[in-house]
Amino acid sequence: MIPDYFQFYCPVKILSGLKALSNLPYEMELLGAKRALVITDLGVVSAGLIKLVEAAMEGSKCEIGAIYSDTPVDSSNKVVNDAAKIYRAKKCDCLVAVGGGSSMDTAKGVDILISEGMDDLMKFQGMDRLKAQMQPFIAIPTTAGTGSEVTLAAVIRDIEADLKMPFVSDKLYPHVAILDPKMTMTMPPKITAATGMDALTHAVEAYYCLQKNPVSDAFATAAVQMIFEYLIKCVENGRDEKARMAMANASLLAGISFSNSMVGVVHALAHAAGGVCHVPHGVANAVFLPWGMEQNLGKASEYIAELAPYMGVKDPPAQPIDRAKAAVQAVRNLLNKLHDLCGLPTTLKEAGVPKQKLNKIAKAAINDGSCNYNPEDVTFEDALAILKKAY
Amino acid sequence: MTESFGSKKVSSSYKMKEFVAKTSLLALGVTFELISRLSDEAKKEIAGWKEGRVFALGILPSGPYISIKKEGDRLQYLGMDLKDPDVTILFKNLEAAMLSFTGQQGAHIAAAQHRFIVQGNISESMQFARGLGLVQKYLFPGIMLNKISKRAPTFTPSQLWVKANIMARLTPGLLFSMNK
Repeated sequence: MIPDYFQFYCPVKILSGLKALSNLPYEMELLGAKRALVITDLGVVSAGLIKLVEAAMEGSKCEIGAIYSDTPVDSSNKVVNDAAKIYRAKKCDCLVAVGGGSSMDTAKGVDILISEGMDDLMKFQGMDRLKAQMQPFIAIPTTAGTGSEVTLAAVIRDIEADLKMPFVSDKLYPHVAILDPKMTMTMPPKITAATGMDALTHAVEAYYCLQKNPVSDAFATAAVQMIFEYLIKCVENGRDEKARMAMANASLLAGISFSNSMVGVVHALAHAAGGVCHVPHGVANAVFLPWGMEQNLGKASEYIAELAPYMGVKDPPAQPIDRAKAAVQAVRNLLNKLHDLCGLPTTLKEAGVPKQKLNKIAKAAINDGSCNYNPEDVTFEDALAILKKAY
Repeated sequence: MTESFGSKKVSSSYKMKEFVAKTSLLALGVTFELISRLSDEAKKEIAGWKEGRVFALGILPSGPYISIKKEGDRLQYLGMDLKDPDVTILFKNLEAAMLSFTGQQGAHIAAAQHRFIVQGNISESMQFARGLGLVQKYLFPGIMLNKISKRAPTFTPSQLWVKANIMARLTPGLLFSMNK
């Protein structure tokens, strides 16, 4: 399917595999940088992963100017401001984000402030607003994942207004993404499952949402196939390096796909559930994915049907609508297996969402920009209906 | 060698499109005000918007634009300019705007095709987009709505009456607001 018009952009240099992390100082030099601010979180530090980053810098002409490790689960303007102050104070000239989506988003926020020479992040909310030349930025993911190492978006909470601020710009892409097998090995099974489902949701929604195009489709189907082949293996055995690398790559492929094709109602609901009830993003996506796919069977069944072979559906039914339903069932089967293996929630109730919050989640969901790209219309009533089914 | 520093002269075709864009924006601005007065659906939607919020819609690089402000339970059309907006939606060029203004493309397709940029809070831009959807519901003919909407809107008898009312008030509204 060729849309009337599309745009595709992915300027990130990708380094993936054995000893990839050892290239960090070389890539910094290529970007003209010498002194990095490493942005990470305490979980990554306690897992010993920052020591690997420090080891990679040994013997090089580059150095780590400072390490900011106070990134919370959700990035905020306060966190971004604090990190930006350190960047300036320590005379850093490069950002290195080591962690999950929150560390990546924090680094992107810092990049905005430093590059635009401002102190107020609020001024840059929106889409395609950034104009400045951005800082050298290297992303090293430790989850698989948000795919933030190859996306153009950051979501940062405005603490005072208690609102999540999305920033979307081609300028927010990191220059380099480094996928090293050692960086995702320490993820516990449940987080592996949740972040893996986040990646699957990116790929699936990217494949059937309105901004889909042949280039993003190629990335999406590759990601779906790899996730169905390797996610269970990663959850069953976290030390399986091959499976871990496959999932890291799948997450990256899914990230490239959805960054160019956007997502839909599943993410709108997941963002809202995260904002209202602090449901972890991957868990929320996992719960909502089959329901979001079903909501779109009316308008996108032929695309959903095309995913069935990549999901391992054997002997797919002849009719496209039945193949699409088989794809939805394949997702449900995967979820149930993950639930059995590591307790990943499959309902909102299991995820700890109080039933009386559903209205508030629905109200927030319809104001999420993702709804724009969902094939089917998403009214308050539509969102609430999905929430009740997912409960 | 002939040096060119960008075209200052525009063709008659471009001028015609500019005229259509200006008239379309004016009609949208006036209709925002009208639906906030006459439509229960619109009143319900607007009730959730922040008081005093200014929304703008326009075309890069230098207009035309319209600005709308929420005041109480109404929307006020402020005129054909950027009046210090909190949220601004800007089509990247005149051709992109024409696709939407001439009913060739709905807002969701325009978004999917990167035809515009958004300055300001994206959640509030979604509210404005829903408001714009309601404006189109009461402004555009059914055949156009079927083409540009994800889900073609339906009308109750009272909503049809509102639409007729808006159509009747539109021309005087345009004439009255032309110089704002």
